[in-house]
Amino acid sequence: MKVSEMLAGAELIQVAGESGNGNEIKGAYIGDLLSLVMSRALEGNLWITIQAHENIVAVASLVEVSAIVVAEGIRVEAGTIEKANELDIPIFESIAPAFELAKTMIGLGIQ
Amino acid sequence: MRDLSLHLLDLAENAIRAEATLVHVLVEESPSSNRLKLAIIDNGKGMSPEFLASVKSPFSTTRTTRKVGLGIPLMKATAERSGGNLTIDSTLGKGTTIITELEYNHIDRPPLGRVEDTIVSLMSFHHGIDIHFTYRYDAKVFEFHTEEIKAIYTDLDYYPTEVLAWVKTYLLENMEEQKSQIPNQA
Repeated sequence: MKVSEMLAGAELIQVAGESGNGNEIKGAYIGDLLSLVMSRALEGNLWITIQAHENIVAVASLVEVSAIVVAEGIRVEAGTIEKANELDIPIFESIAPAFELAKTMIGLGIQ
Repeated sequence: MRDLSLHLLDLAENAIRAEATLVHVLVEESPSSNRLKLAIIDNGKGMSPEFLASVKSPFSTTRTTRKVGLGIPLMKATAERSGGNLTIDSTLGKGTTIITELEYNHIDRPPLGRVEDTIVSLMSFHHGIDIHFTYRYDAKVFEFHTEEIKAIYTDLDYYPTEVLAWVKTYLLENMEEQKSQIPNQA
């Protein structure tokens, strides 16, 4: 499933990285401790987190996740958006908690 | 807590609860040596060794007997997660110094956040307390003392809203200035 298809089925607000909306989503990872995300998330994962500072873009780029969803209504910082646009990493905001987002993604067929 | 400025606010509030009349907030960013140092130094009533042991533990006491929140254990956890540590030096009747050191480039180090908001929040709620703020970025230093502001408004026992707004901008501009200065060419 592409990021753009996922977006059509979920209530998300895209704040950055539209140029990466063609990325293929392969599974998902939920985590907020960046060092752990770096070592455990897999390439192509959709990454759900509550972190919103620019280090998330560095981690996303390193792991090559397909997109980031920032949960719990947390606003993504301007510096993060700027970096994500540079690196074509889609970032979405959602008011939903991570568990609700996980249920939504499973419902869309992301395994 | 989402960023370090909120931790600082929490610890400064502890200092004020401990009857401090002067709270010194210190922020030292040293990218060149990969260090970030934060300190809250107060002249409050200090802590006994027994009390100190209790504030370091998140499970020590119930809310009814706990005189401070979870500020210290949370800050300690954040420091340790970021390749650093937290040390407390306290003397009864003299005051308390809490120093947090973090690894500047550690991936799990939270952002510093809005330190200017921390200082202005403290000012707006505690006009009677003097706040000293030291901001260092490598070799560049900026100092701010609330006494300088009070000296201008001697007839007021509060800071007018527009003054607080000005202080916020003033702090932010000066912090940015320390960061942007090019080191002197030898």
